Amino acid sequence: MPEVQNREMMCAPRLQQEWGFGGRRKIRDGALLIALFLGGIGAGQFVVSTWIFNYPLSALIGLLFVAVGKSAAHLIYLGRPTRFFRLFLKPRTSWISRGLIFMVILIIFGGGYLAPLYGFDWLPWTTEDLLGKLILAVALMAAFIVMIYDGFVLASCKSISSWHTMLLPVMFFAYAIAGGVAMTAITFIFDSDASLSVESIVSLDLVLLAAMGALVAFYIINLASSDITAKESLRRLLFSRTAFFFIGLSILAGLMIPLALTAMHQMESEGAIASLLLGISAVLELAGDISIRHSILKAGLHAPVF
Amino acid sequence: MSPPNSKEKVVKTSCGMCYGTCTIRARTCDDIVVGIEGEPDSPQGYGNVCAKGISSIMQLYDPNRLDYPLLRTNPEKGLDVDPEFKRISWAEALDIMEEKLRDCLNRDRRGLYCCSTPTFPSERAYNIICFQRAFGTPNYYVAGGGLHCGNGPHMVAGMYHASWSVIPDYKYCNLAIYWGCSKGHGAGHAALVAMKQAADARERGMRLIVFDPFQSAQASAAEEWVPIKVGTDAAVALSMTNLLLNEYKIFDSQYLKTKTNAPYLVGTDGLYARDEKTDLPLVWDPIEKIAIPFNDKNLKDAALFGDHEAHGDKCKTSLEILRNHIKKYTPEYASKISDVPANTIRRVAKEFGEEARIGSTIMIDGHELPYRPAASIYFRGAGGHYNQAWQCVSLILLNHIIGCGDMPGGALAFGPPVHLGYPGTGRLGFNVEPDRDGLLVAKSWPYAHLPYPPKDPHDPPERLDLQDMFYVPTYTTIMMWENNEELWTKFKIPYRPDVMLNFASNQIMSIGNPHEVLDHFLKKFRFIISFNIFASEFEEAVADLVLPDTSFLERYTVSTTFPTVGVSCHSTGLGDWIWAIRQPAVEPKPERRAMVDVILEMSERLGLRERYYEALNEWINRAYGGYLKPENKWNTKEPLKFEKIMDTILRDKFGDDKGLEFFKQYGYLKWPKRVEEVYWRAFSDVRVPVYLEWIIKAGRKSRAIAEKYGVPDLVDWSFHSALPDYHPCPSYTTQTSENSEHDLLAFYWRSALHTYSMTMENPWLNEISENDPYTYTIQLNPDTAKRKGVKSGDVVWLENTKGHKTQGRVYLTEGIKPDHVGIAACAGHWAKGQPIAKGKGVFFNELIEVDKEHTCPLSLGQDICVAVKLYKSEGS
Amino acid sequence: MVRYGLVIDLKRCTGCFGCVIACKAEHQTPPKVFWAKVLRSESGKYPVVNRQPLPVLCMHCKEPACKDVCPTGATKQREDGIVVVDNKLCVGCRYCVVACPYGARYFVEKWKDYFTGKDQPSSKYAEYAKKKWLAENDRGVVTKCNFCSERLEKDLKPACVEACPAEARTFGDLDDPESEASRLIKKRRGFRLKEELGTDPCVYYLPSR
Ligand SMILES: Nc1nc2c(c(=O)[nH]1)N[C@H]1C(S)=C(S)[C@@H](COP(=O)(O)OP(=O)(O)OC[C@H]3O[C@@H](n4cnc5c(=O)[nH]c(N)nc54)[C@H](O)[C@@H]3O)O[C@H]1N2
Ligand SMILES: Nc1nc2c(c(=O)[nH]1)N[C@H]1C(S)=C(S)[C@@H](COP(=O)(O)OP(=O)(O)OC[C@H]3O[C@@H](n4cnc5c(=O)[nH]c(N)nc54)[C@H](O)[C@@H]3O)O[C@H]1N2
Ligand code: SF4
Ligand code: SF4
Ligand code: SF4
Ligand code: SF4
Ligand code: SF4
Ligand SMILES: [Mo]
Repeated sequence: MPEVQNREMMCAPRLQQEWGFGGRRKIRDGALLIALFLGGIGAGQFVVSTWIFNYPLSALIGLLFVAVGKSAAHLIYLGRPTRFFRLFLKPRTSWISRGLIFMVILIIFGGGYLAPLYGFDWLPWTTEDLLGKLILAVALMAAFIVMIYDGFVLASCKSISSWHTMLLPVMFFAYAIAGGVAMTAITFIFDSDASLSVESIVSLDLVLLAAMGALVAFYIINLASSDITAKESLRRLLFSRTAFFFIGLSILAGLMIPLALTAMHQMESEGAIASLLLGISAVLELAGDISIRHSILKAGLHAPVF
Repeated sequence: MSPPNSKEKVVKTSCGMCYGTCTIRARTCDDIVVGIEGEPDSPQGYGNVCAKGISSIMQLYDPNRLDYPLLRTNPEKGLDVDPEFKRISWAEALDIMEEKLRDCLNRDRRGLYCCSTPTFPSERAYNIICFQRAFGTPNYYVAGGGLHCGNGPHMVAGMYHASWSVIPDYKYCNLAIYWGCSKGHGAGHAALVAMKQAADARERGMRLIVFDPFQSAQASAAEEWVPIKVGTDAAVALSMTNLLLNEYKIFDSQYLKTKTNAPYLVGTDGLYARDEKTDLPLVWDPIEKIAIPFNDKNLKDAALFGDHEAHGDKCKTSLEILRNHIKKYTPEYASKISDVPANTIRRVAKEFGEEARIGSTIMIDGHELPYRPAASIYFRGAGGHYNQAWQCVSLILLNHIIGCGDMPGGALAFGPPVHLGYPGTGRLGFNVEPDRDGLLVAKSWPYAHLPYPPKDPHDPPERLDLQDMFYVPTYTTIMMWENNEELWTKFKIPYRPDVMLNFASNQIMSIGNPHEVLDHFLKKFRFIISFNIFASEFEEAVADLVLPDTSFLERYTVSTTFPTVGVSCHSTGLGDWIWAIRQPAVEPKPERRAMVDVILEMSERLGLRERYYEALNEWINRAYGGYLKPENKWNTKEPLKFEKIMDTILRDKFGDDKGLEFFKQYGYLKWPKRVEEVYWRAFSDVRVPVYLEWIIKAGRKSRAIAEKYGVPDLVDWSFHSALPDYHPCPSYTTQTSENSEHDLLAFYWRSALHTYSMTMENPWLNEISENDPYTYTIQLNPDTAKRKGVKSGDVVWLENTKGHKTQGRVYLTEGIKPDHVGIAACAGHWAKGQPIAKGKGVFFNELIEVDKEHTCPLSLGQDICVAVKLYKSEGS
Repeated sequence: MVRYGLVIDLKRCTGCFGCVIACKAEHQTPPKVFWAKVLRSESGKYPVVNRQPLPVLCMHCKEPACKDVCPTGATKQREDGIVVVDNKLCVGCRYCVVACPYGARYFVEKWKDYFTGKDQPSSKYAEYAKKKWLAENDRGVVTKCNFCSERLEKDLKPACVEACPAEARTFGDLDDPESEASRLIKKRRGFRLKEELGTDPCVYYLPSR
């Protein structure tokens, strides 16, 4: 039996062809990947920039990624975009509804939280007072779900062995946070007004890189010790064209090089060079982020029915 | 379902996507066919319908269909030549057709060559056979049909069962052995009917053992798949017979004595010892110890074995000769030939013999009949080889050794050759009868001649294929051999190919290497007229005038299930007889015309009306068991009209209330089969040969003619013997010779999705074929692939020893013999007129050589297994 | 209440694809959309090989993986167990397609002609097919086998059941222990595909040997 079903009338592991680039609709289905990616890093940036760094501009940018980028990508992807509002109707059972409802909550509460800073100072709260903090808390909780729900969406697919694992929500969460840190760092580099502690970004990054590395390793081990379909997914991640994204971009460019750069950063904390290193490492991490989502989608295989 | 206020209609008619002729209902909505369903109460399909049948909607509405007559303007003919077809009117087309046919009549009527597909046997009768006879040409053949499938199998089934083929009695059979046939698993005769019957049998517990180089649909459904080297079935079957006769001593003495020529005495000259007075074959009566005519009423018993004296000559019984003859076929010897393990041969022979339960009987409808629930069944796969005639004899003989021929549970004639008459009128009766030697004669047969007894050969032959100097075989490809001109000259044939009239066959694709078929044969015609619904490879390469036929959903025909009596279309075993018609579900587009109407008009124009009516009479007699009643005789003053012809035939057979109007309304008529019809052999005093004495004589006659005209080695005359043997195919020599590159044997098999080449244009069927791993690929064993360095999906060439080659994508399967490659159907189209089919699948026939070396010397059928070398295609 | 189910007898099935085409013709599914399929599986090593055709369709699961994930409620389960997509509600997010373990669902972006691959129908029949498809299934949404509910209303069997040349498919009420379907499942020890996923399918298979 061939490794995968390359014709409809075959009984073999079957590639999922709906989500991500190169599916049935080639390019347009890639919008879904973009939506997941932007949702993750946008929400991550919001969280990192409010909770950890108190960097409102960056939080706003993150929020815009979610509100504009993710939403637009979803609309592009849908078969019937005008009916998008229906997506919110089944939060009790569907992770898509859940994720999107919390996306809206994030946009509203995150926007509300930041609004006083951006011209809406007539609002009855500020970013500093209790009400503001409460609003932020809701936004953060929503952001947390936005960061994690897509992992649950995939994990809920029982027949796709390489997705059906609780590691995915955790991984996607870690990548969202890391993406958020990277976005924050990039914003910081371009924003001459900002005053952040580069050291803390770098150390946070180091922790996250290590965590992601460990998660990816767990994921690989998990696949290797699972059923044949999962093994085939792993084979595709490691040896097919997808390996360029998974090994090349996600692991080498997205994890190893940033780790090395971060290490160099520890030695070289000169202003311009430090920023450059930080910037390169952030961009690479983002590339790794989208690549790992892409490769996981691409390697998704339905187990043969028989 | 359908929009409100739409006009809905149901038309009962017969499917025409293969010659299974299932009764269908075409559902129309506002005069568009929107659904094809099975007719629930019809025995021809039991209300079911197959993928092809349903897909006929897409054939009907294919925008690539021919919509008006086309005339070739480019005088050059060839495979890559643009015919530069020009649209012409029907008036012009008919004028041209008339002129060309009239010229031919004036030159030599025999210059007309008529060709047809086997798919529409009923249409073929009126479009081609009657016209051919009215016109007065002896030249006729059925494309690849007959050549690939029919010669050996039909001839032998005709001799032994007065029928087209054999099929297990699914109702009672417990063990069926299939030798290269799919019966009940997608293809074959009465495909759909057999599929349900076979499924019932499987569920009931019938065991199936399939000898096939490929794990075909039938082999995967079977209890046991026995991979066998192509063309070697005879060796295995003869070995099984050897075991049954000589080692296990399992045979049906009673049957052999009364239903075969086993006891007939044969002299040292190899011919029957005959009674001096009556000239009848003698048998040995062991009680009286005398040689006595086989049918003498004083005969007490007949010896099956032994040496006996008659007229002072040392004689042996026929069975004794056979038994000694096959001693050399030990399982070990057969195993070496066929690659089937010797112990498998032993086991299968034993199981087969034991399952026959010789001596047991069964009561059916008040008749106590022998119960022989085992059957040896063959068809196209066993047929398509150099040794096909003897191969088929070997395979069918197994049945007559265990006495299961047309007995409950055994091997039945496909389409019973006995019908005691439609109950309402007693008409449509036909039966079998013995000839003087007591052997089975089919009373009705659709071919040029009966399979037995042989007519005297023509001296010199009149036909371009020389078939009439043989009279054993049905069709030949001799007219396509490279040396045909030389043969025609030597045999003093005064005319040459002139006009060809082709109905629904794609001779460029269905016969053999298209370059050779074209250069040696088709290019020799002055003018080729072809009726098709598409411009296929044939039309584009050679047709001068292309006429747009109606499709089967747009036309009438009178007798789909009784194309002739005792023929392939009926269900097997007990059940119902059925007579069905074909009628239009929708009106054809204005410039499509049913071929039969054109042919009748042409007969009128050429002044052939009376001759056509005469031919019609003959046809009706031969095909439907008897001439028209006097009151229904044709009025030859009346112009030929098909609806009138149909109505007359129907009323003549079924009564005045069951004319065309009745059949238009009901589509078909059915009535129950009787035990005496289904298990006719038990009720008929006819015998079949275990020793085919007459072939020796027929061969001598043909040989004498060949020698007389200076072609002594026309074929290998040693095949004209009385006993079956295994003879190797030419492909093995190349395959096995040391360091030959041509180390694989290629063969083709039928997919349930396709009918030869004509269904690939159907987008529904094409789509499934593209999505099925087998239909459009070359099947190769993974071990072989590894050896050759190819992977699944690689594009490879298959090349025969003459350098003819074909290309395709490899699919690896464990279900194929490692030294073989399998290819489905007849794909790989290139005609512009069939864009859906174009470039899909693999064109097997490119590899087939049409020559003496690849022609069975006895049946003259084609050997179509090929030794090939396989190599990767550049840039794959 | 009835619970519709289908029993496919692998001993009877020959893998002829009749069901695939019957479904296509009944519903005019556009190119590349197969509500019914026949999968080819192969196991073993020459000469002990088993090639088994496996007809599949929507399993009309009692616990449909597709339904829970559907964010719009477009995927519904009727009282008789038939799982349907409401084409007025579906947004084409395809979560259900990914979640269905049986490959039963097909997203159709737009109608296409079988001969030309274009949006323009190439014949009267294609016009009919297009109209019917758009009315019953629409575009930009997900489609799948509906157990021929439109035929059931007229007391007809599903098209694929009606056509099957080997009569390998038995349709019936699984809640009725007396139905032919229930009887066969019991007698022949019917099994289901991927039962371990907890989808509780209503399509049963009878073993081939
Ligand atoms: N590779 C390969 N070769 C084979 C075979 C095979 O399975 N594989 N089978 C062999 C056998 S056993 C046989 S019998 C032959 C059959 O060989 P053919 O009889 O030549 O069959 P096809 O090649 O299908 O050609 C049939 C033609 O009829 C046309 N046609 C279809 N319907 C109609 C109609 O209603 N009216 C008219 N006028 N034309 C119509 C089709 O367009 C097509 O061009 O092929 C033999 N050759
Ligand atoms: N679906 C469909 N039905 C058809 C037709 C069609 O084209 N399609 N054509 C009709 C016609 S004209 C014919 S002649 C019949 C033919 O019907 P079948 O006789 O069933 O024809 P095939 O499938 O070509 O051959 C049967 C099997 O023989 C195997 N085989 C090949 N060579 C050998 C061999 O040397 N020995 C053995 N033991 N097996 C071998 C092949 O692998 C194949 O599985 O079908 C008729 N019915
Ligand atoms: S078996 Fe032949 S005649 Fe019967 S439905 Fe299928 S294609 Fe038509
Ligand atoms: S139609 Fe029947 S026999 Fe044919 S593949 Fe489908 S289930 Fe099997
Ligand atoms: S088979 Fe798939 S689409 Fe059908 S009900 Fe089950 S999960 Fe849903
Ligand atoms: S594609 Fe339609 S039916 Fe499927 S989950 Fe989305 S909204 Fe529901
Ligand atoms: S039940 Fe109806 S919709 Fe479902 S596969 Fe069969 S024919 Fe198609
Ligand atoms: Mo044939």
